[in-house]
Amino acid sequence: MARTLYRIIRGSEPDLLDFTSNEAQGLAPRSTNPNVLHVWDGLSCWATVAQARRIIRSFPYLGSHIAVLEIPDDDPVRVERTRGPGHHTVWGAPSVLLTYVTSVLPG
Amino acid sequence: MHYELWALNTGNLICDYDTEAEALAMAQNLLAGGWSPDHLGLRLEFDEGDEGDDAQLPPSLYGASLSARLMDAVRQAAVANVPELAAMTPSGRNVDQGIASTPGVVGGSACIVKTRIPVWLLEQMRRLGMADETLLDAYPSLRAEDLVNAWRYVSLHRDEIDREIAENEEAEAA
Repeated sequence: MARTLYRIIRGSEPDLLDFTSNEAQGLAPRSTNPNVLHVWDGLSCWATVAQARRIIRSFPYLGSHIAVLEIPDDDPVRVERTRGPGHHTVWGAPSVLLTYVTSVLPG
Repeated sequence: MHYELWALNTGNLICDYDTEAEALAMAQNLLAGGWSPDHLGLRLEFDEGDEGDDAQLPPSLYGASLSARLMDAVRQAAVANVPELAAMTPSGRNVDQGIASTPGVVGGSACIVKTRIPVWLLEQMRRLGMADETLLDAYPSLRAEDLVNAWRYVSLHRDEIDREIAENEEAEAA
């Protein structure tokens, strides 16, 4: 059984850039805070589409659409519940994560 | 309730913090490292279950509004580190939480603490029909609790505020 998560993306056509971690941007975290370092190379996703839409309302700049990810349970992609309500961090290669997108919803 | 700092260019949460000051300190650190303020976002999360209450969503800060809040934080830190500035706030007048009047600053009018935003000006705009949300957008350095403090001050010092509004309107008309 797959796990479903929701990721905010920039447009209706997801691409590799939509699955870029902060680390992949090439900027140093400039922090020794373990909470910062823990998620620096991961991606923010949500348990429900409503949670993702709530973030878009706070930051319209973040993206206009939401990708639905179906992540197989036996997949090496790592998922962890982190931070605020419904927030999860996903660690995996952008090219792999892109293949898990099953649909795209308006934000 | 906690403050979330976001990387808007990647869509990833950087970290969450118990206080705005901690989040702003991290933002300043990232800006010093080359991040653009357009790529950083600060929001308040009320932790009210998985869905949350959209009616409670406060204005989020990014770009120019975040830069203004960061500048305000820097100024506040500067004031806190200079005893002479702190001593300028007369303890006798500072009868309301979050409100202070300082001789020589905005004519000694009661202001939101550590800012130059006078309470009478906020009240004048409220009387003109401006909603709290609009005021917070117009003054990114203000927090919702600042307005709560301002409205409390107005209710306790209505004569003083009425007089200052009238004096300002006369000065503008002259």
